[in-house]
Amino acid sequence: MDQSTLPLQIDSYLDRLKQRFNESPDLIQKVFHIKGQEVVIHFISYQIKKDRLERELLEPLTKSEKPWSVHDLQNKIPLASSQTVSSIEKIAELIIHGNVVVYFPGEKEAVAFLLPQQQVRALERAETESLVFGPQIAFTESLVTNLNIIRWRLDVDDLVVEKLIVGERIKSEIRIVYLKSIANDENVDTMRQRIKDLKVAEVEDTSVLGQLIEDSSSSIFPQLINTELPDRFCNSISKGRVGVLVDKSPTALIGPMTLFSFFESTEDLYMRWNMGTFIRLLRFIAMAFSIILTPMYVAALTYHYEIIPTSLLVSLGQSRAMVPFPPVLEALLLEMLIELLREAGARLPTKVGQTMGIVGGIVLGQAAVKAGFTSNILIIIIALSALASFTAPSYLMGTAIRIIRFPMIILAGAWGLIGIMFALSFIVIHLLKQKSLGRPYLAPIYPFQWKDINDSLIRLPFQKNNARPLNVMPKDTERHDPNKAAEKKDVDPS
Amino acid sequence: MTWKQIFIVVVLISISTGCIPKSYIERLGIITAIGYDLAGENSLRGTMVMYQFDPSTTRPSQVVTSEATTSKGLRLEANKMTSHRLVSGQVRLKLFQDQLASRGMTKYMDTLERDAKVSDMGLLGVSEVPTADLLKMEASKEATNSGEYIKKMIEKNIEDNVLPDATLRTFIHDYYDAGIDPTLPMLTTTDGKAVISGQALFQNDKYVTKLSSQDIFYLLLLKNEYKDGQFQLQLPDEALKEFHKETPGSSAEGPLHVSLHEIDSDLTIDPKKGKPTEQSVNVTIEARLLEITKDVDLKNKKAIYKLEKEIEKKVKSDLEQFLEFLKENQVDPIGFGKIYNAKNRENRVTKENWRQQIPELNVSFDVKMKLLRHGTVE
Repeated sequence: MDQSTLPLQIDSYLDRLKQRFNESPDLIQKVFHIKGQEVVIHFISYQIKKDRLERELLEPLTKSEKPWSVHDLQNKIPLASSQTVSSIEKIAELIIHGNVVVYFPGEKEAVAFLLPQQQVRALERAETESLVFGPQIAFTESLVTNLNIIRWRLDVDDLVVEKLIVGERIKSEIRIVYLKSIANDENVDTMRQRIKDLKVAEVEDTSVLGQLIEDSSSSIFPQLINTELPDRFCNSISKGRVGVLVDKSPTALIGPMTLFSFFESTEDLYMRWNMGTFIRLLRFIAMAFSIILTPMYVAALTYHYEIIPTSLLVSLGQSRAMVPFPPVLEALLLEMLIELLREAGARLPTKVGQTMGIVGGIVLGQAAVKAGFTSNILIIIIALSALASFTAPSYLMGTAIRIIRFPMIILAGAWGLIGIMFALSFIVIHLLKQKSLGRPYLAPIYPFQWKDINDSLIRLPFQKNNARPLNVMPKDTERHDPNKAAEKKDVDPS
Repeated sequence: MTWKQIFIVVVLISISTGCIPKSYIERLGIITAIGYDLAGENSLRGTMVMYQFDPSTTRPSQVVTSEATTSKGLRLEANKMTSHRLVSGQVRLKLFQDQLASRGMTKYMDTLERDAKVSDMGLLGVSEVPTADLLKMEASKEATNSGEYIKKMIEKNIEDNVLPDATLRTFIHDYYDAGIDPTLPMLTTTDGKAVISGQALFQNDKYVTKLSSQDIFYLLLLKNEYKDGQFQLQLPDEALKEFHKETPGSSAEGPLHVSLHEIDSDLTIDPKKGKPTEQSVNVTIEARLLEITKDVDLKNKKAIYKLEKEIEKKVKSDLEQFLEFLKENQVDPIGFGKIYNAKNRENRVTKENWRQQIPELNVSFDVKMKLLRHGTVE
């Protein structure tokens, strides 16, 4: 007979559980003698709610008039979640997850009551994707809380929440969220299959899961969006995308995505359409600036003095005359400096971080120019492109844009404008090859989809903008009737 | 992309870096303006205005003069006089002494045209004085050097419709076209300042004569349509005698000058079929009367009508005079021949036969003048 399955006598039962928990002092065991019957209770003190244990379980248990049976235990104790178990492994697992296990020695089954206590933080404002205008709430580390928020925002029975468990050693609970009547089955299947096929020891976070299941992990462009904003998540779901939540992670994953959706913010929707469009276009221009500006400076000053506007020539030349390095080195140095500042600012405690910002930004910048280390025009250019790279609503995309600059500067230093064109062509070809959950990454530009431009490059008024993004192939492409939405019936004064 | 491919790319980048010559701007003497003068029978003297950047100097602009037999040789010679490598990629102004220009400009133009580093939008000019005098002059306050000043001056006047286009592109275009001659602005010095003194007229690439600055208006009137020009002209003293106001102390004496603004002109040139020398020109001018030197009753419709007619008469006679001047010098800056070619298939005008036909040119002018506004009176 297997040594780890019930029934067991009291001594061997206690021994085995103790061994299972490596003699841990956290495992609490109690043996009660009620009306001549031995009752063994196991739990981990900090995993359960003790007051509820005492009030709802121990009190009825000890005050009983007659001996208990497994059947009575399940039916007469007023706790919603209880189950019977018959193996030591399962008992141990349940104890870890916040159960109280009651066992009558000699019986075939033990009963586990779920009384979990989890340390969760309250809902807070979004930090990395903060909005000026619109919902401020952010996801938390608790899956239950996150699902609660999502159910609250998308309160339809059409919402499907599938449960998956991933991780060979440490198991993570994963939920796939989508709207059944809208989301494309192929997208859902792809997402589900990729998660199911994972053979990893553990999944630390949503972003880790994103890296594990994305289409091309060698690309520097992220292919799935990580967001901490429930409104962004729910907006994407309602447009037919598929979302993934991982327990213990404060971000959610959305796919399939296009390059342009990384530059969309839900704030564009909350703003009126003309301002939304303006801000969205501003971000694209900022991105282009951020990538091109510094390499252009390097190329113009190293090879192509002809393209410098005559009016700029004098000030550019005079500030360059002080600098002892070639422009490539100068630009790389300063770009490194900015990256250092950013990294230091992110790592340092908030109070020191502010001081560092002043020291780095103002003192270092000023001194570098005075000392003839860099030209002041380059400082302007670098600051501008650094600023521009932070306009990306997706933190991952902003980082990708900042990293692209380095090879581009080196190429500009090696080949001038030819190098820049080479790099740009390379990036475009690379982007054309990318996919997100098997859907084209550069849509709606390629494959060209006129209707999708309305809500990707620009944002049209909601009345006009009635189509769901076609590149995710939603089952239902129309959100509403554009003519009915534009109707405005005023009440006649009578 | 495999590691092998990445390796190849990295190797290619590092090897081919050496292929392109580097030109760091702080090591260059960037020429922005060049003047060519005739130094001897076969030699040129070049004056180069350039920027060179040193950490110590506050004035980055310098002027170098050198002598050589070819235009590129000038730069080689001048290289011996500076610590910076001289380059011509930022040349925006090229001036030619009139003596040099009258020998033909093609040989200098040719190198400008073929050198990809030289901008096609650079300006050209002809100078009555040695260009060295113009370019070495003390710069005015608003420009860093004299070359910059002259460039801005010509640019501004082209924009204001006071001068015809003077870019290298236009010059070369006109030079290679049959039935049209190029023109360039003419410069001189007055009181130590560079000024535009007129327009240089060319026979093909050879400078022939100078058009006075008064007559540039007529050249422009026939060359293209005015959008927002201005001009003043002198009418016969007694032309508006009957409309003079009888107020005491008003200036009835002296010449009658009229100043026109916001000139908007329409131009049609019609060559007679098969006869390039027979052309008729229709000019319609609309303008605002800005100033009139005599006290004329402008509220009177008849006075305005009379004034319009007088201006028409004056413009027409001036245009005829201007045409005589062109015929005398055998130049066609307006491009009567080119217009004929554009509208006719037979009896084509060529570069060779047009020169002989210019003196036989017979153009009938029809001028229409309309004064749109004359401002409020009283």
